[in-house]
Amino acid sequence: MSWVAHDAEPYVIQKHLGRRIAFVPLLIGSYAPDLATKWFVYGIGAFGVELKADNPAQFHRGYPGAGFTHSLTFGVVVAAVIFLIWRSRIWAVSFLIGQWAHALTDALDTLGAMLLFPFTTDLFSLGAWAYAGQTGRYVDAGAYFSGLGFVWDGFWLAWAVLSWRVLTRAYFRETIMVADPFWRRAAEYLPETALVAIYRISFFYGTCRWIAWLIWAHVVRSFAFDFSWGGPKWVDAVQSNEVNASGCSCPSCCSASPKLALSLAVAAAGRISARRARGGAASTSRSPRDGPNAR
Amino acid sequence: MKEVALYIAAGVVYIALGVAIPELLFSWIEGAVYLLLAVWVLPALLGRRS
Repeated sequence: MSWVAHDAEPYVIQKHLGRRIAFVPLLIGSYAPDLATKWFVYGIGAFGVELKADNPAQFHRGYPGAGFTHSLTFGVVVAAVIFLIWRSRIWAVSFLIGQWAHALTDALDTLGAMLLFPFTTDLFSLGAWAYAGQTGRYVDAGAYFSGLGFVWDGFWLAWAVLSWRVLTRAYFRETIMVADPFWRRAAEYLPETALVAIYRISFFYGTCRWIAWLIWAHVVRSFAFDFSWGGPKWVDAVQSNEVNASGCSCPSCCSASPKLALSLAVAAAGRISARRARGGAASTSRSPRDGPNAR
Repeated sequence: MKEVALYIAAGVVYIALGVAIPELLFSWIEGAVYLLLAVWVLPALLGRRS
């Protein structure tokens, strides 16, 4: 998991896509996979009742569990629902980009993400830093801010700082408000200072958390830095194959998923090539009346 | 420039609070409310008084 990258990535994406993207759904997409599940991973207690997943890693990223929220397909499905309800292509695409950024970023830790669910329940993992959500919030924080995870976050924060123009009022007026009617509606109730502050919240929150957790982990507490691949090694990290192994291994699941994925891939490739062929035919069958400059 | 200084001051206080009470760092909502108070509500109230 990433502690700060999901806050910073939307600003970098915003910088590169400008008015072709809407910031609010982009940010919602970036948070969406963890929005309803993270509390159950770490556990929550109220009135003497403790609610926590029996197997936090399995619940967070696996199947059975809520791991489907970290799949690329989940982004497509929710984006399609957004489009069907609001008929807004920019909102649908923005959500999709944000959700994909989250899923792909989470595939960098040792647990990984079921990127291609439901076609396969395999977790795709690069294993760069330890997934330690099952150890509880504070040990997880200490581990994350001692390994390559916080370096990855630092990279995104640095990129967001280099993209500082997206945080200015002028950019907010000329790009953010123009691209998304949400802000124009909000402007009927709130002054610009408040709107700009709302727009900047995630950058502020991410930057401050990154600094505060680093200080907490290495000044207040004494967690040891370990920049080895998959580290820190002092924490009990969950590996992707541990969750894969606990998935359903019945013969029908094992055999159906790859076949389904292959069939869909072949169908998609067929559609793309047919569309290309149609496009090519259209471009070569122009009338002589189009003239010599027609393309 | 004044605006940037306000955000930096708010950030420094938030970081100090977060290090002292790490529980605060878990809540995006609390962070959002804090920022709105620090850079919009309080300056607006102080500006009205003066």
